[in-house]
Amino acid sequence: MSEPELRPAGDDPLARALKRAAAAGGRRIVPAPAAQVTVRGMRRRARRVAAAAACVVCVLAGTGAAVSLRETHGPVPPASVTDTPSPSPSPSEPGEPSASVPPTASPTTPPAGSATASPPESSPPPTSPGGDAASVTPTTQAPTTGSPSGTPPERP
Amino acid sequence: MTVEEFEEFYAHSVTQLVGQVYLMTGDLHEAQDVVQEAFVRAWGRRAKLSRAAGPEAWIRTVAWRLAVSRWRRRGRAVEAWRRHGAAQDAAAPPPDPDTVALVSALRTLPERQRRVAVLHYVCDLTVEQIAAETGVSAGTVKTHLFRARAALAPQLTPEEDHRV
Repeated sequence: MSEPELRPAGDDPLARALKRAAAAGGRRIVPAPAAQVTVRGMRRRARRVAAAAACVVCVLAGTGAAVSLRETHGPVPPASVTDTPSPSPSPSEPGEPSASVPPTASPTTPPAGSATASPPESSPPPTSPGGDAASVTPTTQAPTTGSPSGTPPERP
Repeated sequence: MTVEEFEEFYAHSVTQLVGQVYLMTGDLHEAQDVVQEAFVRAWGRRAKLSRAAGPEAWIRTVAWRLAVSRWRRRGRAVEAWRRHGAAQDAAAPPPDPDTVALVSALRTLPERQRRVAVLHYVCDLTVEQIAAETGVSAGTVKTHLFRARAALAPQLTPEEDHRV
């Protein structure tokens, strides 16, 4: 295929005929006044600005609603913990509430008879009327008649 | 471009652009409508349009894309123009038979060939400028011009051929 020969468009009879046809088409129209185009342009820009503002408002409202919902309900627990409950509660999870076992007691080694084990929450340790509860051991304390400071009484 | 400059640009170039788009689309009323819509869109960005950068090319490209979009819903547009554009047709002089034959021949071309031919022969754009405006390669532009010329040449009267 040979290279097509292109004449300059200025002295081409086809160009002159096409320009004449274009001019004839242009003469057949009555262009709208420029003021009408200006008014339509202003309306179009106003519509675009309004649409952009509406989009911004929607985005901000949605974001605010999502943030407020999250603050209201707090963090959602993981789905695996709530959906698949463990058959035996593990003591290594301090956040998991247990109804039958106290949190401080181990289910495998119960502290039966231990003086240093902390009692369950259902039976709080007896406290002295005016003293500190932490310094009193509930099972091994003997009734004393000495001074409240804890020094043994001198025998004659 | 200020508002006054834009209105001056519109008054100076709207007829010329409608004629060019008319040859591209083959429909005068649609050409007038899409060119006016392109000017409406250009008003919003007139600050970016400068006289030196050739705003006619921007208007022409937007009008062409609008026309292509409207071809998809052509039925409603033609019906609307029949309703609203009949009064203007009555006042305009009818085109001469040679112009009618040439425009009819243009309508038989594929739209890309028609657009390239109008840009070259009517808008006086070079092959490189057409390639930049239409987004095709220069070789494709030359091929389109060659085929369009071969299809339109039989429509030229012998009188026009002798003037060269």
